[in-house]
Amino acid sequence: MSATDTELLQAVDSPAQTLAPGRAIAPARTDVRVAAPAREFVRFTRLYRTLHACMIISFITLALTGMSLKFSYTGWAAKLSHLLGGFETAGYVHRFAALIMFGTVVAHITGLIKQKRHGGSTWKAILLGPNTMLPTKRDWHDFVGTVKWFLGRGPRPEYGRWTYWEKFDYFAVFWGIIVIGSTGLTLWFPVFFTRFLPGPFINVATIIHSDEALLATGFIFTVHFFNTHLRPEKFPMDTVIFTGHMPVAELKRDKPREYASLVASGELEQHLEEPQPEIVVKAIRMFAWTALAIGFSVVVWIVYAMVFAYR
Amino acid sequence: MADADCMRCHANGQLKAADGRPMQVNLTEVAGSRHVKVACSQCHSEVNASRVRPCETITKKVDCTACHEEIGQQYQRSTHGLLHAKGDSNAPFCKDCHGTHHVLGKHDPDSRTFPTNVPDVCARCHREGQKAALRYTGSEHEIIGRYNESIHGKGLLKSGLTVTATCTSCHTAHREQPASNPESTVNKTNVPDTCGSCHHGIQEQFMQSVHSPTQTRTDKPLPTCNDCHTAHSINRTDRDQFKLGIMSTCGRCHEKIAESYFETYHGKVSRLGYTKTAKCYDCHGAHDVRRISDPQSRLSRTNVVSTCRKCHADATRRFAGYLTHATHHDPQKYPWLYWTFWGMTGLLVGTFTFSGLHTLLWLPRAFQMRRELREAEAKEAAEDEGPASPSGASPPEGGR
Repeated sequence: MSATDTELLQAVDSPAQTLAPGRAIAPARTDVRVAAPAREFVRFTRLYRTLHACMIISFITLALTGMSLKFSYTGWAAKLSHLLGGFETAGYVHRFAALIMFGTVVAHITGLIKQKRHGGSTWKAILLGPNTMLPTKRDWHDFVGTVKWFLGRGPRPEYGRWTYWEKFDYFAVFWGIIVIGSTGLTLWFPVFFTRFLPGPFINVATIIHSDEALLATGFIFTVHFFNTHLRPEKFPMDTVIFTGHMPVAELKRDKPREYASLVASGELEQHLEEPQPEIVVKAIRMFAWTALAIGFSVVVWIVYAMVFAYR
Repeated sequence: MADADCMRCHANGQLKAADGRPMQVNLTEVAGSRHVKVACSQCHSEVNASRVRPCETITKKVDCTACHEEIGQQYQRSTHGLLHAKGDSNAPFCKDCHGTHHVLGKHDPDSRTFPTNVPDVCARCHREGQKAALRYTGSEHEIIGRYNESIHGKGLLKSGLTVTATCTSCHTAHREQPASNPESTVNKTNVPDTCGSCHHGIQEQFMQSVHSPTQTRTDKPLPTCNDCHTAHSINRTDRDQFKLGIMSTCGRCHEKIAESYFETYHGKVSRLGYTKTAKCYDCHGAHDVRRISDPQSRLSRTNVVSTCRKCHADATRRFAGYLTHATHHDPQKYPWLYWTFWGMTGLLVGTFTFSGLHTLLWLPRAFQMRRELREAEAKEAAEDEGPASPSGASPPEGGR
């Protein structure tokens, strides 16, 4: 363990003392640790937390309204459709949720542009820097290393800010929005699109829209849920995307490369914040549990519809 | 012979036949009936006025055919008449439906044969559990109950609409025969004429349609009115039950085409229980359904766009190219859909296999990490216990 490491581990216990020598924080704090909880690492800004919450709401809404049509042959679908106010209302709700999702894409891209302007960095630095969202050679090595670790043939790789499965999730969403969004628009405005596309393209778009949606819901509600929330060391959920915060010890354990580079550059301190108030965390947990519960119910319904009631 | 001669005895309330039947006659019943001008002896023939008891020469029961000859001939050929001729005690005779002395015309609301009373008259034998229903072996059951709930039954019994079809409108009053008899008005070949006697315009359309035997020569059975509308429980066609049922009705013969309809948007919406979507007859027409190759078909090249425009106001010819009965299970007919479906399925199976495997392999390591983490936490807590206890880690005594 390096000297900085030891220092920082202490910092986790009493951040005021070791990490912020320049700041005027009463030294008495060290004695009342219960009253002043450890500061946490800010992984997600408010914008990304909001965008993720919007994604959850729109995605679940789209899944429920869409699946009620896709699995119309199950008794569940008719009940759900009536509950949502009938197929016409469900259709409007579906399109409205789609607009929210398109909105998150616009907000995300706008956010990136703003980030570039404020940070004063170039696109090259953002896209090719160490914290890039784009897949890199290092990700490939991490992937190979991870498989080796799974098989007991090597140590756990030192992941950076974005692990390869997180990048996969991110681009899966991008891909999904492009594929489902474009075919969805075709189905929304069939008369317009058949001005330049042949009529049967609407049939093709229906298949793509519906099956890609099945892939997206199936993936998010099982693989994503497991990889980020249900995996044993995070169980039952990882709230970092909701609160934006994670304990520094967890950063060090989960993203050692990011942690090391923040320590090396001395920037870690800038990324620490007081934890969210108890009530906020409670509300967040309730929201996240609701989302998880609906997601799992949809998975159960899909399995039932595709395995036991398939027509 | 004058009625007064008969009434010398038959006005007596104590008069009984040998078998105990009361033989008193109330002449006012006859006076208010259709037979007001008919003398007793015209129906009760074979009387001999020279006898002290003129009626002792009577050997036969009243025979209405003496006057109603043509109706009598019809009756003899009907199922009722044939059974009666065989001496079947269940078979109805004239008086069972028309009554005796107080017989009234069918236009008199008090008559048993007035339209609103006909279902009751027939129900006496044909209601489920009654003698005619018990001996019946065909497929029509609960006919009285179903008729009463049908559009005809409600029109007749609830609205008092006397032109509404009642039992005799379709089965006739005196010539009723089983549907299997080619002479029957409810035989398959005669049903369009029978229904057409009221629904004339519909019959005209139907006779030009692909379902009419005059247009289509085939060994397969062609549908007639009751195949889609049923015989007795005929529903209003503007009710959801009929609208949503039509797909399975048409699907009884057009099995594959109905199945593939349910794979498309229209079909899925209808399955959710909503009628505001294209159903079979919205595109193909109902009674005027024709071959698509027929220029007069609603789906012919010249008409298809305007048919789509009924719902999709701005529809174009290309839009009309949407495959309304497409299935992704037929590589010959719809290769594009087939390969899109299997391409997507491959993508799904591939992605789920890969990520599923990734997750499964991860599990044991994740459990190991959880164990190590818990151990580290426990160790840390144990280390903290000692020095931290006075400052408040342990609960203060008496503090509630």
